[in-house]
Amino acid sequence: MTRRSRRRAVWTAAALCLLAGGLAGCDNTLDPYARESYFSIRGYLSLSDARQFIRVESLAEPVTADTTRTLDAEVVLENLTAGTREVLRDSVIVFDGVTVTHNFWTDTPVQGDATYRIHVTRSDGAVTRATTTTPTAAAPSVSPDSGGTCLNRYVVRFTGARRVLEADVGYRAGGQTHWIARRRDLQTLPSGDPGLAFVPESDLAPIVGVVDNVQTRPLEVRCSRLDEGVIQIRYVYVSDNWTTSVTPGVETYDPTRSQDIENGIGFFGAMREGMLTVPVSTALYADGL
Amino acid sequence: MWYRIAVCLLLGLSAAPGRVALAQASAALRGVVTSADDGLPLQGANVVLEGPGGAVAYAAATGPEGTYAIEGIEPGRYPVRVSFIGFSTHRDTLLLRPGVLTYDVRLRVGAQELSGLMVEAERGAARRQAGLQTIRPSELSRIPMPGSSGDIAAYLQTLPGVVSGGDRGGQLYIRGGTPTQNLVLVDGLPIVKPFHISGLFSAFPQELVEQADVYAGGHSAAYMGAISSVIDVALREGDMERFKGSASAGPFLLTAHAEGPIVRETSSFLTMVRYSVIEEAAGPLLGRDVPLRFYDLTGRYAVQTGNSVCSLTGLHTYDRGRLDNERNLELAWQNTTLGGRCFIYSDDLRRTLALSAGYMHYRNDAGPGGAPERSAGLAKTYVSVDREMEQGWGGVQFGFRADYATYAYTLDEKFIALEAEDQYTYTLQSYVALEGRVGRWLTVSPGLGSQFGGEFTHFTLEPRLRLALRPDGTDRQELSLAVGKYNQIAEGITDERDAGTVFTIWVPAGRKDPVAEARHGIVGYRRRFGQGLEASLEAYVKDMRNIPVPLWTPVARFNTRTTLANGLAYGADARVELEAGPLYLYAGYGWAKVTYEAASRDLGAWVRGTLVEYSPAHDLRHQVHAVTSLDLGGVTANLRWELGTGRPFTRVYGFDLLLDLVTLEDYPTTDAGTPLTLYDRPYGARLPAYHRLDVSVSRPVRLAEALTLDVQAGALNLYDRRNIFYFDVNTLRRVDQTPFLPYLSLRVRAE
Repeated sequence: MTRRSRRRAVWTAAALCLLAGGLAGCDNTLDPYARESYFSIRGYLSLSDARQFIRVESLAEPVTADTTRTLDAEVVLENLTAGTREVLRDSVIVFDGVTVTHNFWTDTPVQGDATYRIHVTRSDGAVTRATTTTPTAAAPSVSPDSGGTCLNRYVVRFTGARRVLEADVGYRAGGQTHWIARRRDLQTLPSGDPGLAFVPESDLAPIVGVVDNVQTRPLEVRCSRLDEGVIQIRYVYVSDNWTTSVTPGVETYDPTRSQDIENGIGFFGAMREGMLTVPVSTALYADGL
Repeated sequence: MWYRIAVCLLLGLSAAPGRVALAQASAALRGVVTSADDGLPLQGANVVLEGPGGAVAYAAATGPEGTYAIEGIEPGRYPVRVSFIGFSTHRDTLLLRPGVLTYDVRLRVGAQELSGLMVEAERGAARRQAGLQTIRPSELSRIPMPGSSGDIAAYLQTLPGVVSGGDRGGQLYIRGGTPTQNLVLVDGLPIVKPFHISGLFSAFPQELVEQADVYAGGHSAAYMGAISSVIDVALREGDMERFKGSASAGPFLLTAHAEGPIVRETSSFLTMVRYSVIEEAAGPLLGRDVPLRFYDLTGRYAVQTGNSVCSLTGLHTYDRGRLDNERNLELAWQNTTLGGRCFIYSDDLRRTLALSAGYMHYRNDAGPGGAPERSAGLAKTYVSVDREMEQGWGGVQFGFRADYATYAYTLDEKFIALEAEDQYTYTLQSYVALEGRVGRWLTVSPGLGSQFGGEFTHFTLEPRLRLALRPDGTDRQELSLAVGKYNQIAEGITDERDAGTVFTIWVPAGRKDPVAEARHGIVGYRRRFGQGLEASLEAYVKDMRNIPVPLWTPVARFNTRTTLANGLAYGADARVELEAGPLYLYAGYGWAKVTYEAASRDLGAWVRGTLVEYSPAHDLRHQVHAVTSLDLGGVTANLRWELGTGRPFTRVYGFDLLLDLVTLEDYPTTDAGTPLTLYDRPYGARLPAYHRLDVSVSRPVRLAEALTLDVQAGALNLYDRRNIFYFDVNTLRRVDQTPFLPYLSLRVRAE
């Protein structure tokens, strides 16, 4: 390269740099939205409820901006197993006069062991989808299933329920059932099934507090006073994707972990409730202890 | 612990060498240069002993109190020239015999001639050197701004490498460092945030400033406790001969200043108050609310006795306003600083003892107007002792400082449980800094500092070195270098993702946390061409470790939880300055890159992998600045243009109502959920580039013998460029910087 051509190249580069700088300086546009996602979907299908509600919100609109706004979305629930589709209906609920929510609903019974997909489609074709599979019906068993007393250790095996979310033990006395939350006692049994182990006496001892709805108070009823000589166990088991969904709480919330939502964020799962009754002998307590 | 305290103190004390006798074969010249007009010492005056043909044989510049010393002079007869810009040059001939000659000079105010010697004074070796920029009051007036005088805040923003968060908020990022990593001193007193909410103003207007040394890095061991930069502002003393005063009015500010002798030629006062009227005056000009309010009040008392100069300085600032008109978030901060300093000189002026003590308080609040939800601040009481001794080979400076600081914050925001914390720390700092001169070509300034504090669990040793090489033995060109290690025990936490709040929490490093650290490397070259043209180049790198950064919570709200990141900032500056008679031209270009790196598991959401690297909000890649000043027929026209490429910002991911469905606590029809504004991956996009032209024209009109009216007219953003400040995720609005804003300012001076 000659000195002259080198100089020309330098000037050309300088001119291009200036031009580029000038163009950059003139471009004053700003796109403040990531626009990677369209909707949030929050809800679950319950095989125990007659009506299902799924909340859908647009990620592009503040939830409190305008109480009269509508949601530009068609929400379809598709049963991939049965091959059916249903357009859900919107019910707008305004909380505290400022927070507008769109809760889409259906009365169609939910089918067990079926895969559902919800499609939220904007008028411009943008779609957010979420998929879940409803739990298979569980066949729980308890040991001992008869002849046990309040001093025995009962083990409940939730056969068929892949993930048990909640379990409460209920003691009925004086016409009222006292429920004790046993979520912390849920465990995986050696068989691989989810299970629950508990000793009734530890719940019924006077020093143990009893959760009755939201209030904690000492249990005044002893084992011998149980109405029907039975203990009830109610439980909730959920879809496989339940655990992989977002963890609530503003500190740990990470929308990118909504891995089951395509082009959106939120949570879409399925759950099922069940009830089990265990006979308990109260004869040991005939002396009124 | 006692071992560390001892090391910290002994580092300062043991460095005191005995007095070194001057070589009897050489002569020494020392003295004080003052203004004959007001009796004040002149810092930066040139004292030159001429050799054959008028060449510079020996030279020195006066220090902060007007003192100078030239050692190692070959005995003989020398023409001496003493000069300072704005004063008539003093000429004399001295016969120097072996020993010390004290020679004090009083310069008289003269015409603004620009002889070569004047240029030398204005462009002295210390003015720009490896990260250091020395700013003199006359330079502040070259920046067009809607006040009666210049201001350090506006001037700093013309320097490449200095990034402001916008034209509001008072945030200055210097060469990759954050505002809380800057150490700001006024007469040696620390002040946390002296920059006003309107970005053109600080607590340091031209009327008050004697000189400011801005170290964009590479600061010597005399400055401890800041890992990024130092802004060391020296206020001037009040006039010791006559009373003076001024008052001004404009659409941004009302100001008043007064000064004068208390005991003639011995003590003086200087006071100034400035009060913003932006809300009242600028708002109607722009046709919209400009909810910015600030004021500052400064007072200084100075007294000179035979061998000492003492000052008492008090400063209070207040800022309040909203950076986004539409957002119901009001920010407020205030500083109070009060302290005294005494310089005690030995009879031969070769040794100086400086004693300082003072108190400072800073507090900032944020929240809806009148009901702040967040408050945070710190208070510090300190005492320091510094000694400086001139030797034949150079000089030595050493000292130590002890402070007691309290930190407190309270957060009480919607949806968030109350968080509050109070902490206190003691800190000891000590240092020793040498300056060795090897002929006229080389100056070597090594230093070592240490800090011991933060619940007495943190101990640092910080070696530093500055070099200045003058290849031809004159000030015409200089190659300079600065390297060093810097630690900062207390840090400020600001979530840069939201530029609409500059709320900052100050906390000391935790007992088990490593202390923030930086290693600086700067190399610079400066060359003067002819009488008035000077060019300089600098390249720098700052390697930062253990910097607390807010966690990447996706939810748009302030959080106090931090993690530690490492940062790397590097870049280069080029500057050209021409001073030719009435014309001054300056152009500067800066290129920089700032990246932070943190462990993914610590940073929070949005990240995958082991490490995540990102560019923080102050990663401004390209900057161009131009300043022009022309003085013709008593009319001064100033122009300033700046261009900057876009800074990183965090986009909005979306808006959501968080329902706790996973634990079955919430249900769509019975619970509203928690409304959330979600940030996208932090700093994933860049704002558009910005550029702006400011102009002003001013002229003094003499009203009477000692009464002058200064009339200034100008405009900010002359071509009304719509420059973005930031995008507010709360109001979903683009917030722009100041549009075209014409102004007229008047100032009356009585002197």
